[in-house]
Amino acid sequence: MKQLVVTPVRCIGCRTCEIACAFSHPAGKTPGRSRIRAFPIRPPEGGLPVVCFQCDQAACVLVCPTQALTRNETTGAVDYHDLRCIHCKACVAACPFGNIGYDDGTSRCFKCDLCGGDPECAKYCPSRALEFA
Amino acid sequence: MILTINGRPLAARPGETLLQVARRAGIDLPTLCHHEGLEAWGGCRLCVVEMRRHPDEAPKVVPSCLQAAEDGLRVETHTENLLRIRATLLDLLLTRAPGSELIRRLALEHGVGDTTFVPQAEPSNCILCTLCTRACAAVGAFAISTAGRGAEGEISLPFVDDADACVGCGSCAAVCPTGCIELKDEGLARTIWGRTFQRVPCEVSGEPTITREHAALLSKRTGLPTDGFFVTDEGRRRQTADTIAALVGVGEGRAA
Repeated sequence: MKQLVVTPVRCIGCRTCEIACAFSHPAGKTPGRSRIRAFPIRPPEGGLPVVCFQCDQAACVLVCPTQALTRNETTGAVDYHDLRCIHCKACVAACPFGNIGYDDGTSRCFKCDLCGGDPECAKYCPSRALEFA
Repeated sequence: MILTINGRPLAARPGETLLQVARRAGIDLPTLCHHEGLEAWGGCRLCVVEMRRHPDEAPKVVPSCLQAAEDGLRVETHTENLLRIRATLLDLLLTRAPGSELIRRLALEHGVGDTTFVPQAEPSNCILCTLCTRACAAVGAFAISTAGRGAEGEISLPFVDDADACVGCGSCAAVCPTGCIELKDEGLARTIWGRTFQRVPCEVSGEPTITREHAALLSKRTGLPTDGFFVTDEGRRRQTADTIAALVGVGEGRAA
């Protein structure tokens, strides 16, 4: 199964991944709701990409009381099902990496879903800091 | 297994309900008490359908949210009889919840403008769908339940005002279809069910996270450490970035 491989030392901090993510998930509409974040860092110029690790033993899945977060066996991603969500936001509090958020505007959680098995961020990353391999 | 809904043959997975099969096929069935993440209840009865196991059988009216799909079932979702049943139900619901926009809209869609019954003197907008109590039970708090019976039925705390078991997660208010559960967030304070909680400020940004009580419950249920819940997602991402920077030794740290 392919994974989203992140190589932080290659990141140039251009944040194209955030834009690609925002455009491929129109429900959030804005890079502020991007499921990937590239933090710019001091010289040497670069960035630190932070995106869901799709943990094997995921805290978000563990705390969800309604199975709104489940493993997608095809893509390997932890998928969010908004119809099953009761908005307790336990997953947001439980993720040790901050890779799931809650959007008050759409009343939905947002997290990386690997774009259903073909992540856009990896396609647009100019320095191969993000690869789908 | 294959069943027929409104003359359309549809495939169903084992364990699926008629409502799930219908909605997957894009058939619009109204519901008020249904939530995909919670146990089916069959309370509002708006999702009723007519079903027949044999073609020469008289159709049986069943709530589709509780009826399991069966091979060869013949189901109708919008017969004149069903529309009449739904209109009557919505007419009755209007006496309880005249202030609910959702119910007003559904009623209008079924040709009911104002209720033809005697309106309740003090309508509460609560329709006793029990989505809140089921959400509360799913969270594991069991702080609210139904109380009283008949016209005096209501959602209540134990002994009317004992909010000790509530953890202030806000799930009940979020799932309520008529928006009749009051939840007020002001700064770090959250008031619900007459009790005011303090949400713990994020260690990084100072923004509100979850309540200490909610964290204690999550910790008890999952074994995760209690003090690990009090950082917002954005704050956590910053911490993650800092950890990665230290691990791979890039740059001199985050710029901002």
